[in-house]
Amino acid sequence: MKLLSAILAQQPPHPQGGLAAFMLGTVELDDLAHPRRALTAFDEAIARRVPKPLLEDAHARRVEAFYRAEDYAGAKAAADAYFERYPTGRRAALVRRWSKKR
Amino acid sequence: MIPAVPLVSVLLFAADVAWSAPACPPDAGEELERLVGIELRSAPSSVRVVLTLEACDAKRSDVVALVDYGPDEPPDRVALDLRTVEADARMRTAALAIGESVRARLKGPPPGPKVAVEAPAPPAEEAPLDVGVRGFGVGRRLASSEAWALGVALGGDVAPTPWLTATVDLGWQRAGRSVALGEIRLDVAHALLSLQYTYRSDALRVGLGPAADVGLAIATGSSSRTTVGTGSDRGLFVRAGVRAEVEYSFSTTLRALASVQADTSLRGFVAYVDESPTLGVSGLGATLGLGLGYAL
Repeated sequence: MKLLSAILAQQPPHPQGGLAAFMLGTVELDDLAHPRRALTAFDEAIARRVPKPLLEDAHARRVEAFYRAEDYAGAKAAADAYFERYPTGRRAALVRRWSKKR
Repeated sequence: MIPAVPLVSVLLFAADVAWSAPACPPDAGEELERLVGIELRSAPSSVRVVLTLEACDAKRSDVVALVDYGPDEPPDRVALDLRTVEADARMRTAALAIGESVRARLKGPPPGPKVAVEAPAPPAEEAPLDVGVRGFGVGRRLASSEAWALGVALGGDVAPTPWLTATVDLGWQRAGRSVALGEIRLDVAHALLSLQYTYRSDALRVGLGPAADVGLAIATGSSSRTTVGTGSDRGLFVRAGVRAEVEYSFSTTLRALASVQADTSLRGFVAYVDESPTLGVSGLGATLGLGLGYAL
């Protein structure tokens, strides 16, 4: 966590900042149950050009983070953004599930 | 992209990692193996991953992962194009992407939190109950009358399990026919129930199953012989057949639908003009439909 945060705080920005932000997001969401922090991390991962093979996952993870934060409107908006970018995406089924309010 | 050549393979169990490198140095994929192992640390032991590298240097190779989920599940193939990723980040990127793919496939939430949970329970283990409404424009070929009926249908669908969809549609159709003996118009109101075995893949749903249809047909006709004049008749009908539907989801709510149904009447209705069967709901028929749906 500290190492990832240190990479993200580096100036000038570290070239692997997007990857570090994605990893931070998965740790915050999966291991620490901090969905809001995870959301910030995934947003930063996208903004900092996370490697292309992980970009779709970053968008999908935003939906999950919103859901886990009980922000169902946010989850739906994030899902719409996902489907706009990836109408037949590999994570479509998962995104659809996370974007539904229970 | 150069086709992947199985120069290096890693056989990975959740807890027990085997490794083989038939044409490469024995340590060629160790780092990638370790990173993938970390990402799959919480995967069930039934998950096996075979990694294929394009070249012996994992930092300069694209990666193809064949993921086996056990004897009852189809495997996945995850091909990663890492050309746009800088060399130092490739292995970590590949490991994360494979981990995300396995996690998504298992349909479960991420591994449980190690601290007190402050988020709501995830829905992943629950069976999704998809409910939607839809509308169709339909065309029906009346085989016995060699005529087309056009109409609309409104209804809904519910999916109690991912592999079963039940649909109910209420529809209205109209057909007309002009013959030497006169003209006749047929209006049909009906209710359709269908149970479909459903296959889903990302935004696509394909369903196939039996359909039953009951309704009321009203015929209004006039004979060309002025002495006969106009008249009307009505009757109930029952049809049974097979219905197939294809649905494509544009977003979480909006869907496009296409349907085809072939059926035969168990109880039919035929309207006569001058004692000749002219138009009716009997025998074989096929219905084509195009429509839109909205997920609730």
